Amino acid sequence: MFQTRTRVTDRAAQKRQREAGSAAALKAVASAQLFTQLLLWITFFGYDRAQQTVWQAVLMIAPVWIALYLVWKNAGDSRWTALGLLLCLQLDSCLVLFAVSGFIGQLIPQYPPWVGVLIPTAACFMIVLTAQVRGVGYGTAVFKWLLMGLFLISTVFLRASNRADRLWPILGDGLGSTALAALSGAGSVWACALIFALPKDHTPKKNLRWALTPWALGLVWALWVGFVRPWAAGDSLAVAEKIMGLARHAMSVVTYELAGVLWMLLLPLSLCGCAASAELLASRAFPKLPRMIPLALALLPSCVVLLIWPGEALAVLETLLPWRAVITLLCGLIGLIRKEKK
Amino acid sequence: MQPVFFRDLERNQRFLHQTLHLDENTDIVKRAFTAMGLDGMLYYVDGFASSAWVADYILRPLMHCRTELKGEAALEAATRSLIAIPETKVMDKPEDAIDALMHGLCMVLLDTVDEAILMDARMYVKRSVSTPQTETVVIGPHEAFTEPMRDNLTLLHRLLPTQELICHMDSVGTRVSTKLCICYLKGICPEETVAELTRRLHGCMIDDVLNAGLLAQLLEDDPFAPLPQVITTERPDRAVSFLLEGQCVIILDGSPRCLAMPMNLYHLFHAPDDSYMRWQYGTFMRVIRAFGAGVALLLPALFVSVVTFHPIALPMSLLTNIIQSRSVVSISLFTEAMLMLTVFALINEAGTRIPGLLGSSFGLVSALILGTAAVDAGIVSPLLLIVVALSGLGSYALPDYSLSFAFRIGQMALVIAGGLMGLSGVCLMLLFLVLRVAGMQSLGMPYLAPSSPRRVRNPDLLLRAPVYRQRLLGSTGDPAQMVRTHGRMRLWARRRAK
Repeated sequence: MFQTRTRVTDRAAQKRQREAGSAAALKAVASAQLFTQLLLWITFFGYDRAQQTVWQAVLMIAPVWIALYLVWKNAGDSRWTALGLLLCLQLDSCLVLFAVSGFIGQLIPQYPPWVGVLIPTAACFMIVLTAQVRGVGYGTAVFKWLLMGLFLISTVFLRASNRADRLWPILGDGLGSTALAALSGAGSVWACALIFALPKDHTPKKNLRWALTPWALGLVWALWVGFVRPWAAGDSLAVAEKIMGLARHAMSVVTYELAGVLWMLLLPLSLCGCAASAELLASRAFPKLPRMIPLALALLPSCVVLLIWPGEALAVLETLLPWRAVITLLCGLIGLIRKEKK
Repeated sequence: MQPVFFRDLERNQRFLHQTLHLDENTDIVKRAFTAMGLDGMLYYVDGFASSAWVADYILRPLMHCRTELKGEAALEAATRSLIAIPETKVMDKPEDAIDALMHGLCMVLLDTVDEAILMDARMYVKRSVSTPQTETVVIGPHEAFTEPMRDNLTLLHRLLPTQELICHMDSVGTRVSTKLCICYLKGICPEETVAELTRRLHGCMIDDVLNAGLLAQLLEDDPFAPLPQVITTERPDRAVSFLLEGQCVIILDGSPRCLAMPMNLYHLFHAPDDSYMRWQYGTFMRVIRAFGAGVALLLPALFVSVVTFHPIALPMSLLTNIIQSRSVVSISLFTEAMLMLTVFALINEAGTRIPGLLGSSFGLVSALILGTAAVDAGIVSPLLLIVVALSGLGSYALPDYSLSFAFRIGQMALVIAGGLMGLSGVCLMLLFLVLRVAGMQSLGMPYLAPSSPRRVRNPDLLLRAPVYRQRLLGSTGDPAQMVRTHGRMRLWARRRAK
């Protein structure tokens, strides 16, 4: 009993295991993307539309998630699919940078707003430039346990005075209203495709775990948000107030701060993931492209948009973000067709 | 330089006189003699060889031989019958022979023989084996490497008496050739590792390599990375553990530290006596060390960022204490922290350089004058002094000397980030550091392996499992040789139960 075992007894098995380890790191990046986008959708759009039924909206997103999973599971590579995913990554980075800049801007009001945009952009650019794709992947795999721990603290240690009857009426304004809200969140699960697109996967098992876990955690978050009801619908709140909405009901100041640390780590990590994924996809589609170009393209346009139009950004994103699901599905179908033709 | 030796002794002498600058260089001993009816010349560097050995085992046997021989026959007789030095070799290239001469071997040239005889009769002044200076342990051997490569190899052979231990001699340096030895365990160390290391060594185009630390900087994958990618140790037992895990060890002549590659982050955190103690104690020490590392890296930055930007996160009583203690300090907390960390680094550096006799009073001076007086003068607050002292203690708990430096630099970077942008700055910088380290490689192996990327490993990373559970060699070794023991390690326990 408890004797350490190994299945690696020859070079071929060692090579397979090493490739599986590298692939798992890239899947961690995709998984973190999926998790972040789901949480941001719930925070900025989902709760305002669905209120206490936001968790049902997340459940209703499941068919989109399943469709993406099934299509991309068998899709092949192509330049067009890479371009489509790059566009989705661009939208992701815009939303994440919006959240980061608003969060920092409110935490440190003595700095002008452009600091909250420029500093995270520059920092994430430098991180991905120096650490490279493998550093972002392996580092995300390291952080995943810390982030899950912080997530647990942020959701479990809330005040017991919140009552279960806050979930009533259980269907809210009706299934139709919830379904409309879910439609706006359909694009937040597009990163399911990245789990297949990023690694050159030799271990197709365990992909379900990487895709399912962030969606399940997002469901838990939505359940708590619906239960706690951090703000009333229609309230005009600043970005940081929305992000820390659930944490304001924490049991103690330490739990509140730890919830803040969750966002402070998750958002920049997701931004680095966007840039690293863009670099990897672009380098496969266009091998001669210098690596700084996809890095810059993943981060700079978002930075410029938020510097010039900070107030209008969220409204525009609200219109564009749901289309990520359509783009990803189309790219997946193109990949399927090309693979079958081969 | 001439490509080969001549058969004419006089021509060889003229050549050597010119090459070795013997009219200016009086440090090289020349001794003419007659042996086997031939003229001969002995050369060696004064002080390198034992005069008694040279006289008894080289000159006397040669000079007493009256049989007249010439050419190959003379060479054969000299090397096989007359010279009694165990390590004797013949070289036909003057470049190699001169290199050997300058490394301390004695050279004999005979008339009519177009090769030089090189003999190892070295006996020079050297330091005896002492205790390690930077890797002390409570339980475990107290031997450390010394400067001569031969002595270090002897220490390794004593601990690893196996024919699988391969010691391949090589050299590095284009102007001054420094001898080194690449050691590895055949069958456990993958051939690709040896090949890659050899390729890198042969690609080091530098005039001379005086120390293993210099060589490490030439061999590492990324010179701009925050952490070292070549591990150095002065302990033979640690070097042996690296060999048993499938790593290559390089011993450089003149350096009391050896190098080992490939490595990962966990090698820097492990101390030798973690394995010598029971697993509960070893695990406890590692947890304390990890806590110390966390305190060293994060405590000053967290203190500065929380007090400056997020004071509401602190309990009211603590916040009141901090405000009261800082009420007399005229500089900002960020400036105060940077000042204290810089002074701490200065004290460290001065403590390393100060002569031994003054060392005992140095701690008292720095603690009393700099610490207490600074608080009384209102330059620093007592609480920050405690924070800096704790973080310093944490960095001293790290077993690797290079790692403690890296942590101190990282600590300052985090304080700057925290001082400028609060907790968000600390998180950004922490992300940068962790992801940068995660992207590092050592001889192509990921730095955070075997945890990220996940690889098969012994349960011996942060927590140390009992010895009988550590059934694998490290993740760097040959997979075919990965299992240390088949079946139970504690076989006696099973029989006893029956």
